[in-house]
Amino acid sequence: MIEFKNVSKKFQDSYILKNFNLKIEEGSKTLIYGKSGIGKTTIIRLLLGFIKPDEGEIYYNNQRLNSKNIWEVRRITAYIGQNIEIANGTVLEIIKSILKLKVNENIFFDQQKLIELFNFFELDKTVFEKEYESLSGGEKQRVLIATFIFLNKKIYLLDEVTSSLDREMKLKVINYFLDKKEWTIISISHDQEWLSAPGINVIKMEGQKVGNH
Amino acid sequence: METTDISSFSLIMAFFMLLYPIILSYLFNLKIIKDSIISVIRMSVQLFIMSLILSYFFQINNIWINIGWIIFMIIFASFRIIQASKLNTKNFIMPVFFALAISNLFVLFYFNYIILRLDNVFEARYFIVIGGMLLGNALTGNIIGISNFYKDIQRNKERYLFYLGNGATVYEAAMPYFRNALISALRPTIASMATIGIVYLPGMMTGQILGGASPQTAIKYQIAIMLAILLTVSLSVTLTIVFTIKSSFDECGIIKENIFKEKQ
Repeated sequence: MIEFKNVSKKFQDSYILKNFNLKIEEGSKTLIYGKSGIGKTTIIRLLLGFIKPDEGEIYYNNQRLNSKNIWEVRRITAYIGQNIEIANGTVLEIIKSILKLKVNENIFFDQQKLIELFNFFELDKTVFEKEYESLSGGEKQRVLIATFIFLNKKIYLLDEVTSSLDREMKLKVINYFLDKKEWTIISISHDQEWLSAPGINVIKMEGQKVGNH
Repeated sequence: METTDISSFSLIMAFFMLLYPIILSYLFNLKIIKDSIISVIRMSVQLFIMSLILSYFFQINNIWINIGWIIFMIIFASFRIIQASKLNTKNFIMPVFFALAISNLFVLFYFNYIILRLDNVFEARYFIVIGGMLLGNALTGNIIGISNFYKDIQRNKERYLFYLGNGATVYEAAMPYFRNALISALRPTIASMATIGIVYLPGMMTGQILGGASPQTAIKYQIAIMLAILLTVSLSVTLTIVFTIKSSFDECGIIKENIFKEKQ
């Protein structure tokens, strides 16, 4: 589904990513693991077309990623970045603004289902009326996770989405994602819970050398 | 009723009013003496030249000269907007020019033809003077609007990318910034409408009353011109953003770095 072939990316003359190779099959679950500042986030940004590789190619369904199919990739993707300060307003307003996007126009706003998802991640109903900004980091992460699970996308690009959650909640989130057979998951995380999750492909990044475990 | 003219002597007396601000600046070391004097000189020279130009235009009253002058003012305003917003002139000059031209000429014709019902909408006394007034307001509105729009997206790039990465189009992802830009551009006009008449009489109205018009006529003009200003500002800011958006983002929807004049 997605393939990185010898991809390199420079930032101010030094390589943040060098000859990086990665193959993602549909429905696979991949963890990109490693210290901060070694280009993990760069992989997601490249995949979403936020930046372009300096060398090498990225393929989506055997087609080189370009300014046409990048929009297709974004349409089938749920992207939760490290920066979760994504909007102002109440939680419900933000969810509605996401649902209002043309890409989500066929998704029926089944509030009951959303409430169930929120409950599953231990967010009670009152959270909908709260100002998103006033929530804690962990609550924001769970709001976004639940919302994007509700949207039922094909690809999930998750950048440190469990960093502020307690261990029990981390496991709950990880298991939810791993259990969804049809979803393609690419997760970036420091968390041990992801590393030890059963059946996950771990890509360990160590500086510029990249090993496939 | 004729307006009392100001004689040369009286004008010199007017400049005496500068004395206190200058002394103040000197005493408290405000370091604005030079700036104030330059500004006063500029204002005087510009207005003096303007008076010559205007009397010439009123005398000739040629449609093409009037249109040419308005277009000259629009070009000047376009450069000023881009410069003040610290944006790249090359990318922005054409779209900003067309946005200003369309919105100003449209409102100007509406005002002169539909509201004032002039036989000759190009009549210099109305066309140039009202056109200039609308343009002046569009200028301030656009400086606020367009620079807010692009700076906001740049400053909140991660938010913008969040929506883009989740399948939003450029227009959808930029919508919150568009909304904010419009609000901040329109706020000064809306705020001044609310206080007009109570605290101060706007320049145009004051001028008309001094010029001998009845207060009833003056307020009708003022109401109409305020509404025309509101329309011009909102229309021109909308068009400026819509016209510049296409060339300011690349094919992947990412804001181009080179649209800013200098590194942010």
